[in-house]
Amino acid sequence: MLRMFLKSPGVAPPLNLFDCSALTDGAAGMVLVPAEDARKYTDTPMYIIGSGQASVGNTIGNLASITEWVPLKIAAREALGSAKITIDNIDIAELHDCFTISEIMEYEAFGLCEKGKGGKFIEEGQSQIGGKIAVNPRGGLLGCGHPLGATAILQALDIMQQFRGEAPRGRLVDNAEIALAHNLCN
Amino acid sequence: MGKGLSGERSIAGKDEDSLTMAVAAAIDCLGEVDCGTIDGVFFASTTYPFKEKCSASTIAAVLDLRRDVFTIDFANSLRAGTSALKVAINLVKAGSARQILVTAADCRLGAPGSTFEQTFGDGAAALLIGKEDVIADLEDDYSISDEMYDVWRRDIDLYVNSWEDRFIYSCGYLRVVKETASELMRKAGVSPKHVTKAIISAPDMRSSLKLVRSLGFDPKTQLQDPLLNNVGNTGTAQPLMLFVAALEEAKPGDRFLPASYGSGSDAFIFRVKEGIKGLEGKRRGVKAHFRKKKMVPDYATYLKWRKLIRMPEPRVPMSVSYPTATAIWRERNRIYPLHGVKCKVCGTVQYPPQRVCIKCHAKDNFEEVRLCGRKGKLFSYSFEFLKGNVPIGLVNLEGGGRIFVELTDVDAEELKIDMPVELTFRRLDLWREDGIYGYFWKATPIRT
Repeated sequence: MLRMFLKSPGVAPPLNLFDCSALTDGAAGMVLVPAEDARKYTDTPMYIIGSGQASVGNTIGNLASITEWVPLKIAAREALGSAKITIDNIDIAELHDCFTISEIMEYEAFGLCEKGKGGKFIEEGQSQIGGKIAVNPRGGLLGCGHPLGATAILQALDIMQQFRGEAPRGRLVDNAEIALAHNLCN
Repeated sequence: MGKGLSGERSIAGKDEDSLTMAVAAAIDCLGEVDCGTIDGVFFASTTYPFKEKCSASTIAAVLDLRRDVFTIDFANSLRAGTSALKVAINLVKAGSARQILVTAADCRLGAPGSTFEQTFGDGAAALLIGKEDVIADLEDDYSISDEMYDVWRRDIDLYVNSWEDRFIYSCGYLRVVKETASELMRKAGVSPKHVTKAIISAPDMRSSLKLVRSLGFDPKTQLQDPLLNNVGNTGTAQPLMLFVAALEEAKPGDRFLPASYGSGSDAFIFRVKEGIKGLEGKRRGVKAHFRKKKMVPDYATYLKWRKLIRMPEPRVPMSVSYPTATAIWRERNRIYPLHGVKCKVCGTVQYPPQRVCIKCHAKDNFEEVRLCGRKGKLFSYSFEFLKGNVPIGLVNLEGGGRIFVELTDVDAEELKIDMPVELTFRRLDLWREDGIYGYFWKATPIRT
């Protein structure tokens, strides 16, 4: 498996084909209603308890930093702040792993580990179910494909299935109560 | 290819054309000169990228010159370079312009396998005409016009045509340039022995030697090397390029006689002035470009670069959009003179222009800065696989700012983090052209 990955054709060195999420077709939908009305529509609603959004620079040439996601750090702070929780309260993280390196940098931006320790975080199994936080139990963008605009909604739908215990066995995170979904775009 | 001639010829890169070569020559010519008093840009060529659209105006835009600059394309004759020079000198002399930038470039095609293909060279030259701190002063000039089918290209031709050799040289080049240069020397009261260097356009070495002998010059000491062995005949650029090569070796008091040929001839007598000393080693000129040459791997590469053979077209990603004239117009300042912005609060230089500072997040508080032609260091690089492993890189610019550009005239093995690079104006290899040639800046290693 690892050999196949390493031998996959180059796309933009050092990234090979399997380092890049495949752009796919796809569609997803959800119904958003005021929280107090949610139970009119379903017995098992999911609530948005915090959100954040930030944009800094618009090309790789003017990123605030090339080794960390500066806008994500701002957005993460906003989201956690508005939810009045810390990253340690979160059970599942749907991270935007458009490339292998993005997910690693996202651990660091969310404060799941120190800068430069993202690789170790995976090696120690901290991003697996049963680890510190279950990251991308649905396979993420690399595993499921990346239908661009639909990706964020797909992430939310998977979280909903997790909360309801409907996710298939093997990738079900038991008793998950709080999850985060992160999306990235330029 | 048939029997090859000895020597080398220059070839424009894959992403170069007459316009981009003229820009490169202009940037070298201007150096640190204050461009505010440049009142005109003249561009001479027989191989403009556009038959209708003024290339001199593009050069003026790239150089970020004033809006009321006067631009003209001089076309259709190998004499166009010296004709532009003559008009520029007369305008400055008449007081209609303070300084005029004269550029000439050509990228002519000889038919595959023909002698022209081997003797032509691609190249550009630029001269700044003005009244102050001059390096050479015009003493006299003379031109004649001549109607003849010797070397020509119709509006439907891709390659240059010519009539039979003996006819075109005896009745054209040798006769017409001799007539012009002799009449100039007679009129100016200058005899051949008073001329330090005869700088004369040359289609080939044999004709060149024959001509200078017939004018009474000693080819060994008085003929400026026409660079046919290492550059080739660069068309409209040739007389100006040879003039620049002569100036590189010149000392005050030298007298030069440059002359061109093409449907007639323009001839000049210049006297080198003290100002030449101030330029020593400050321009790349002709010599430095020999040092930075790169060999083309094979003939097929040349044919591909000139699009003389059709290659399978890359599959265009769905997300690629057509270039549009409206978008290019809207972003013209960030494309041609490469304007970025500098934050007035924290001083961070940013490209492309932003509304919110990437560093201190101050909003709408920027001044425009010109980044064109800057040097820098390669911060990181990768390759664009879909276009055939085209190198791309992030360059940290001198004076601040980081820009994402294609890297050109460089082999993958040469690339190193922190290598010194400079920005160079090139033609883009667009996914879809839609009738437009895209131009933008790329980075290339500084070769010295």
